[in-house]
Amino acid sequence: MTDKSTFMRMREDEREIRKTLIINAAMTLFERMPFQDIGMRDIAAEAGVSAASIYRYFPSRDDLFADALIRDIIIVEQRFEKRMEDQTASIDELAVEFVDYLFDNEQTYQMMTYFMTKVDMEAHILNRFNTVARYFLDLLDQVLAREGANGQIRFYSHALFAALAGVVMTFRNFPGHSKEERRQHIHRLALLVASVFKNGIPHSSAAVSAS
Amino acid sequence: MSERSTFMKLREDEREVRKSLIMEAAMTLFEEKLFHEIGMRDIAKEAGVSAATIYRYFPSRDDLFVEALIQDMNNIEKKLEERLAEGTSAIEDLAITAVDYMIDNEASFQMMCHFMIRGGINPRAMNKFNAVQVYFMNMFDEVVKKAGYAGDNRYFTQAFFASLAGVVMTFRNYPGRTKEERRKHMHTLALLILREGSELQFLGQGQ
Repeated sequence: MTDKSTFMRMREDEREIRKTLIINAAMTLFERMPFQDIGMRDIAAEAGVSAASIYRYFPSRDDLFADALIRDIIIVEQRFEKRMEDQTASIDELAVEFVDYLFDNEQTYQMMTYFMTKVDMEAHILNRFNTVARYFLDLLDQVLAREGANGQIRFYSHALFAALAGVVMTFRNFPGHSKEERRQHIHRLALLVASVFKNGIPHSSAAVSAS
Repeated sequence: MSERSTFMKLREDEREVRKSLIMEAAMTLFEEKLFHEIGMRDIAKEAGVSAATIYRYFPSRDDLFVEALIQDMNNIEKKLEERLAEGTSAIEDLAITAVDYMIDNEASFQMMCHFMIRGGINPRAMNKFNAVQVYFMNMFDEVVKKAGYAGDNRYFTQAFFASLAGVVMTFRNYPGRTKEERRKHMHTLALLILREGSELQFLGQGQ
């Protein structure tokens, strides 16, 4: 490696470290402020940098939170992948893991619903999401295929993802119940949704005759 | 009726009319603004009343929107009942009606997202929203039963509704496609969930 490239690499690493520090500061603020109230100035103050320098790393607030959310999605993907290496990982287990992650991680949940329901997203942010989302859906496709699905699996992956997200969104903040009651209720509905996909999906004739 | 109670009733009615006017003004604002941009001042201005007056009817912005949502729910209920009265007993039609309502009514959709997913709502408004949700779930359950589908499994109705809401929340604002393409995609997913779900239900009952 030449001196120049080492230097470049160090600069790259430093940039990544700084970005991570800024994102961590934003996540800390989440614990004491509602998502919509967190401004770039607050994040800069928490991270101990100037408001001007924060924009050097993230051109906008949406860019910052998109980056943070993508990091979270990658964590979930890695967990899924790990489970899938274990051949017994079923739709049930992945469904519970997915709803639990959204149930337990307030920040992830808030950022996900924010970007999901946002009316107009900038093209460059959308493209980044699309890349990770495609990978995530590929993983779901694989699990569904393993359960014997065929045909237009992608539609099933979309439907499964949306249905599970809907279960969390509908019941996560449902008042009048303890946190554990809500979790149990969400698990129950998620398993119901999963069972629909597991048992209801048209199986290939080979799979049917084999059973 | 005594004169006094007539007077009281008139006052009550007047209060309801004023509340409705204020809520209508708020709904009009959704055409040009996003939910979080609509303030009490904007609503007062649109309704042609003072900001102080508006607080006499609604203690907070969330109280106002949760009441608007209750009106909305009556509209959805009416739509579903109409479909039933027309002799539509296919659960698929009811699913499409519910999905379309959430797609086509910007204000309803944004209010639903606000109360369902954002935290920090005052407990009084949240309790009202809770009542709305419980009412809605019961109504949906009834409609599913009336359509001739065995609805003794309440979990099924809840999972069904949550799945439809999830489909709309995930894909309603998905960029890069036309509105019609998105609608078609949401219909496909709703029917897909339903078909698989109802097959499972009936298979279970048949055994």
